[in-house]
Amino acid sequence: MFTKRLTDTQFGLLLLLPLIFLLFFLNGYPLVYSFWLSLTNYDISRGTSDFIGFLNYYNLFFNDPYFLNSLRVTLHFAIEATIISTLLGLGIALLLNENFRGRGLIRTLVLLPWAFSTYAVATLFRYFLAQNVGFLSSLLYSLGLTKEMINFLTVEHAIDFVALAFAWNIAPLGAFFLLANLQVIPEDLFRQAKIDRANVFQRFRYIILPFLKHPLIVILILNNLFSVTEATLILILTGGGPGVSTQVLSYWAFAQSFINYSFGYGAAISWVLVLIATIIGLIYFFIVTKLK
Amino acid sequence: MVNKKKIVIIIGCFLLILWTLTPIYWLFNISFMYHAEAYTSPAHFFPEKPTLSNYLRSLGFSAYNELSGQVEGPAGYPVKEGLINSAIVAIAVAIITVIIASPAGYVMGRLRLPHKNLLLLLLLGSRTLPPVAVLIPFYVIGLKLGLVGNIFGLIIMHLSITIPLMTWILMGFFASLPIEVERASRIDGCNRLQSLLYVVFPMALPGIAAIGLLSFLISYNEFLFAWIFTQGTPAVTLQPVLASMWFMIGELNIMAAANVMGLIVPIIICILFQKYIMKLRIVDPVSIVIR
Repeated sequence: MFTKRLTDTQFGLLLLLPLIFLLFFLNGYPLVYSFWLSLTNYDISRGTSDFIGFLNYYNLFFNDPYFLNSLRVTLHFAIEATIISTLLGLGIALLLNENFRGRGLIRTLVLLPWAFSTYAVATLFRYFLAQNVGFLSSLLYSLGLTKEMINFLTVEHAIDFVALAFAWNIAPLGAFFLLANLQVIPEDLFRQAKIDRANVFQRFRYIILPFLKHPLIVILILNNLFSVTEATLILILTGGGPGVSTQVLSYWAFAQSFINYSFGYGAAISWVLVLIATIIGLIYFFIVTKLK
Repeated sequence: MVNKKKIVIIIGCFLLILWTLTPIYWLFNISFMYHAEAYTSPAHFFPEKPTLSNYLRSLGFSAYNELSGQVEGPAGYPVKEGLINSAIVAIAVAIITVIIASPAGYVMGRLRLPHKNLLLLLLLGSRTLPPVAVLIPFYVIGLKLGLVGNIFGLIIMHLSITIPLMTWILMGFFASLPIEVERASRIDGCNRLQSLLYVVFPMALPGIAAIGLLSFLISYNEFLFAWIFTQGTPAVTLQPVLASMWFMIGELNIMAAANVMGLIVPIIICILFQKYIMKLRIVDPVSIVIR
């Protein structure tokens, strides 16, 4: 065979060729192209595609009141979604780490939301939170806790419920990762803690937390990354509304491009998002590789 | 003390089950209701007259309505076509991903390469790219190349997600396999390619099967690219079909039934995968990300 004449490196590169080709054409090239788009006023509805330099960015930063709104909403959503999903993941992991009957079944159940598409999660919560036929408003009304059917997706609180839906979807991911890390904690430490009469909080603080510190940071950053780039959930669950109260950057870039057809401006917004995501991604990369 | 712990566990499990299952239950609940009941407010917590007519009608059959005594026609959404297109796209994506990512994962996990860290960074970088940022240029390029509105465009888009991710996962998997067997096969006279095909890949079969399954699920679940590339065309896949019902303000009961059918595939894969997920040594949580 001709592979005999190749060195290890050449053989490796040969097998990597499709991947490198793919990374270049399906990630690298579109990104460069998107940057080029962001320097034009490419607009399908108006039929324009002229080079306008950094005008899109100038308008974005200095002339567009929605930009600050989107940044604020993105920050609100990302912080809230990250905290809820990380804490929830930790709680689920601690619970599933205990020994009890039916644990296998509950593990399968808990994993379910992980397997659902973001679209499906948005749909589930649209039914769940609906004002007239929703589960929550019907339950509160039927129990006599509220006088009328409540609308949860209001200007003030819609974003909080989107964060809750996000956490429902993503928490199992963190839970199973943390669970894998919990199971390597030596049994002896817990036995020793029992002899020392450590209470639940002491056990968590002095035995579990040292083992979970790095995994928790990893999962925190990952949750953060996914919450910052989330667009589908917003598109289906709230459509950016009511008003612009849930218009996060990623949804706004989507809407500018595919609802207003101003791809140039949408590309400029998406580049702001790329920069934010890249910073988070780099932090993640260095932490994961450092841990190894 | 022991009892206190037991009570905490029981309450925790109870809350966990409620939290996970109520949103899912609610969709099932409404999917078994006739039109009139589905719009009752406050909603019923169990269907009064459970019916399968929503399922039949969303799949393109007629069904008898017990309440009104009339036969209702098909709902007119291409749910069946969407399922077929989704299956074609997802199977193609899974197969191509396995073919490209397995050797690449082997190389990244086993061999020494110049600039390997740069490649690692690029792999992860493609994971951290916001989908929207890739979608916008892809759409403009796709329009020019005629890739919008056919499944080839969508398959390529999905491969851009699955291949880097699955290479990243397999990299860890190949690195954890014993290298001695591979060495022995080389001494016994296999060349590099033979030892890869007949020794290494068969050893890695569980991992390769898992990434095939995950790729299938990612492609089946992917919404944003599918929506922009196939919505309203004959190539439309399931997720855009379901989502378009929201934008056409479809009947709540029909939509619920159609969406429940969309959940069947992920539920089956989740059950298949559950036994596996604890055995996959989750070194890096990215390995079970499916979005």
